[in-house]
Amino acid sequence: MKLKLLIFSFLAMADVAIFAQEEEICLLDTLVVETVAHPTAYEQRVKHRRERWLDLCPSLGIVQYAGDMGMVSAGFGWDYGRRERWETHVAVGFLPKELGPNADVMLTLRENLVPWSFGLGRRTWADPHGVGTLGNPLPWSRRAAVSFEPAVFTLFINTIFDDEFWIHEPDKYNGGSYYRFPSKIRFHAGLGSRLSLNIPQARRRHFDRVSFYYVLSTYDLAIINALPNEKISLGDILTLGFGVQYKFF
Amino acid sequence: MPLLAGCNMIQYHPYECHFDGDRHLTQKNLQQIESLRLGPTFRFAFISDTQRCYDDTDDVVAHINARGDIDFVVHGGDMTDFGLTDEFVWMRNSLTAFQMPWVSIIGNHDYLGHGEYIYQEMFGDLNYSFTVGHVRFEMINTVALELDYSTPIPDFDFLEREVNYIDSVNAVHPDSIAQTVFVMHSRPFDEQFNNNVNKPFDRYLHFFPGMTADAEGAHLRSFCLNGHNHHTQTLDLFGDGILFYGICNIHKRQYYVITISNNDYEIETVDF
Repeated sequence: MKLKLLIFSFLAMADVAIFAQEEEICLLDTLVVETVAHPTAYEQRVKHRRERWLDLCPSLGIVQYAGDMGMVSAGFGWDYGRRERWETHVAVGFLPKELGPNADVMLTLRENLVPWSFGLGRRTWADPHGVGTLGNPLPWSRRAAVSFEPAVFTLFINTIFDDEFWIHEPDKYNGGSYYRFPSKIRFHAGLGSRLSLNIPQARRRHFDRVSFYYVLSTYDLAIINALPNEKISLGDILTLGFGVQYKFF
Repeated sequence: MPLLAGCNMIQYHPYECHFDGDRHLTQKNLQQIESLRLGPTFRFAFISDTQRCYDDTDDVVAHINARGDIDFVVHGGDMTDFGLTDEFVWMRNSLTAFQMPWVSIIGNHDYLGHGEYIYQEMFGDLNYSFTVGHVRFEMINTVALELDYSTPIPDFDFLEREVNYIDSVNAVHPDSIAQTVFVMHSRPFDEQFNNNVNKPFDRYLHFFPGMTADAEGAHLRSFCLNGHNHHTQTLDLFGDGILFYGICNIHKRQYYVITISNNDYEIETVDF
């Protein structure tokens, strides 16, 4: 329910973004039309500042199962760059106490690169005009009913909120230089694919796109174990995760 | 618990403690050692510090299996480098290829993160003991620094119970326990050992059979084994004749073969 609340709050922010982008053509608010016609330097600066802050409004929501981010993790993110190829995600994960000495909460910061996107089906099914919710031009793969991203490259950092782990080794260990690794932070790299359903303009309620993905990943300490040993293969250190990604706008 | 338990590629997090396959291995292996009904003469191997060396561990397992003269194997701790579930599982899978029973103690690296919890799930108690022939094996946890000395390590209550047990057995059947082998990861004076209790620990050792010389300068028939230092060395740490035999890490490709016979022992260092 909290997630739902989170998503709704993002939607509310998204509406503000839409309004801000389209205020030049908004005929309902004559005041805005008047001020846009002769904006002072101050008004322009306010408008500019508001628009820049609105760029921080997350455009994505994610929910993931497994994949080294927790049993279940959920969060939000931003897509940006040419054809929105880059994505940054922040997610909170959870490990129930049945899987260890105690329950654990963790935080993941993830960067995705989605170099290719292919539309499947009629190119104008979801969006005949090719103009996104914010007035941005849409690549044709996002106008099709379904689009397929064969490769999603991902790097992520995960930190666990648990006193048994440390970033800086405690001084008791030879003045803090015995184990020489930050047990509280893990570095991961992965590759996955995803299939996206582009929701037709007329039927959008909360999202304009829903994507289903898997990601195969591994982590620093597993690689350190595998490298000097023929016995440990790539298959031994790969982890599978599944998720759903919602695009708000 | 995992929805796709059959698929071992599903991992929630590197620090998740769930694992498939064998668990409670100490108890199972002790039952196997007991079922061997070993007499007063037997032979065991001692390896230690196998962390992150799965290929070397596979080699030592094959080497010891091929000999055909080893009754059981003792591991001196540090099976993992980072206390990861993955590492425990990979190392367990290498060690379960031993054709004879094998037992272990916890090392300081095995404590890292949730390692202590995983060790207890996979193996069992951190202090335990067993008798083979006339020899009592005291498998004790000595990595005190990992718990900031907040837990009694070494556990003198455990040692006290052991002394009382041995005395009670020997009272009924004199000399049925004539020798003691102490197995520990970190030895006294190491940074991991609780060095505030070095001398009390040494005094307690003398309560055990074979740890005190019958005549001045005589050879003791009991001894201690340790890992942790990554060096093969024999030290008389307290100058009282109690010898600490340290074995190197497995990457240096050595192990001990210890033969117990006639209430005495022989230690051979084997390269593989």
